[in-house]
Amino acid sequence: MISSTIPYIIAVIIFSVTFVIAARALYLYVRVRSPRLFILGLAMGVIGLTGAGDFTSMMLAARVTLHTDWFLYIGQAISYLFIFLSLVRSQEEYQQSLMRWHVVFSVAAICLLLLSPVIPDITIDPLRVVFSGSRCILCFCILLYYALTFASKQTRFSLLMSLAFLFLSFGYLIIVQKYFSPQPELLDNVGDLIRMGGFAALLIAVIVG
Amino acid sequence: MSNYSGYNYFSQRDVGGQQLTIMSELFKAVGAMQHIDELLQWLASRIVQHFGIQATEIWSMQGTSMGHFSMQLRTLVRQDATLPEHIVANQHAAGLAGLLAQQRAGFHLQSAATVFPSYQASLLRRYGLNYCSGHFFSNTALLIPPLRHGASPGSIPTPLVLAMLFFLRQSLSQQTIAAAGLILEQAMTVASDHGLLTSVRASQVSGGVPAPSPVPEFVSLPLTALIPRRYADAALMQSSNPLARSVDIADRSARRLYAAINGRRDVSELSDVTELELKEIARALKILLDERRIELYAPGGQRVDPAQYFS
Repeated sequence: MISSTIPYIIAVIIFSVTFVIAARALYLYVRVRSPRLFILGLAMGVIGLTGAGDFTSMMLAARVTLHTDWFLYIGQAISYLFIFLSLVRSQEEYQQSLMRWHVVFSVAAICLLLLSPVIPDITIDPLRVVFSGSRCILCFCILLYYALTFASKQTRFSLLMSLAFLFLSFGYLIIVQKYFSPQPELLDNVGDLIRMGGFAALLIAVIVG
Repeated sequence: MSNYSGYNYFSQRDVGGQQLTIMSELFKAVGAMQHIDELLQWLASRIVQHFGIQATEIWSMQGTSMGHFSMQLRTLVRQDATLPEHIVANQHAAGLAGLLAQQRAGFHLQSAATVFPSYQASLLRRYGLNYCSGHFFSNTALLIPPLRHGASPGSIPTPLVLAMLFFLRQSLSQQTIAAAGLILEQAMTVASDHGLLTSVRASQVSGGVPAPSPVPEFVSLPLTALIPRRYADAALMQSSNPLARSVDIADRSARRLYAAINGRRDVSELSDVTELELKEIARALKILLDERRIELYAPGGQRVDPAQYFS
């Protein structure tokens, strides 16, 4: 009973946390015009949509089949990728260019959500491993970046972000294992619980960091 | 003069010949001149005529009895009289002249787009003025205030600092441009010999003109000629919280100005785009500077210390 509820809870948490962050980031972007804020807002918005899409597909599973996994994996991977890319360089021209590409890729990913009623499901397990694993790798890259930043300048924000992405990357790593395990549901739930901790840490980081 | 591959082609001999012609004509004409501005006007018109330059203007540093210094337009000669004066004689040109005076150096022929902000460059292009060159000259002689009625009140003889700007439709050889600049230097020697420039000692002995204030090492560019650029906050989202309250710009005008800053518009263009008055722009600039969100740059790309403009 509890194990079947966890995916719903994680979807709601993902949507709630990322929606709050996205809304604040995009509000500040309109006022301050920092490309990094736009990228953060759009990334969080797309991740939030993956949560909403996943929740909706689970709720409507009995009535209509929505193959949202494409959007879920690819949307999240794109979002984490652009968050990482926005951290590595600070030049205005680079950030502006990154912003434009982020919009292009995000729109392409959202098309996968809109086409979820008609596109086929991901049936090839290695493909799921690659998609799922890419999120783990990207979160790990972001974790490394924040860990190095914390090492050079110890701020509460970089510590909390390191912690958040530590949980997220570990959570995704656990989830990837389910494709090789005889108890996939257990690993899925454990991974989701760890990810919940990651998103909670993310929210705390942007509130008190 | 022959045309070759779209250039006004001057051979080395032609250039030397043009120089000699102008200087020999100057020797004949200088005797009738009463004021240095007549010589500068004459010189600029000869340069335009002989070298096929579309517009030539000469700026000088002008001091006042209050100790203020600024660049003042002494003469402007256009090959085509229908070219509006304000296209080439404006605050951007004044800013450029000030920069030459500050750097005490000219610059070789360059595309107008690399010298001026985008708005001014496109305006010049519209009138077929695609290139620009600048020359600097100074010596210890004193330049008396302009003959033009637009001279600032309290203007006093000022040590000679001249910036000559050329505006061209087509590219000319560097040799030709350099020759045109050299003529200015030679003409100033002639001017000095014929009493059109005053020496410091002569002015003090005659008692007829007040002693000039010491020349500042730095000649300020007008605020309107400066180009604000956003300061790339590398720490945002790395070690500092991007969603913190301090990230927001509280002041409405500062926010509006910040949004309009693109690293190419100067202050006067930003005033037009944002529809904010210059006084409000200056206030907003100070806020953004205090919050370390922007930096100020001269048209040539040099970073400017904002302390000169905002105490």
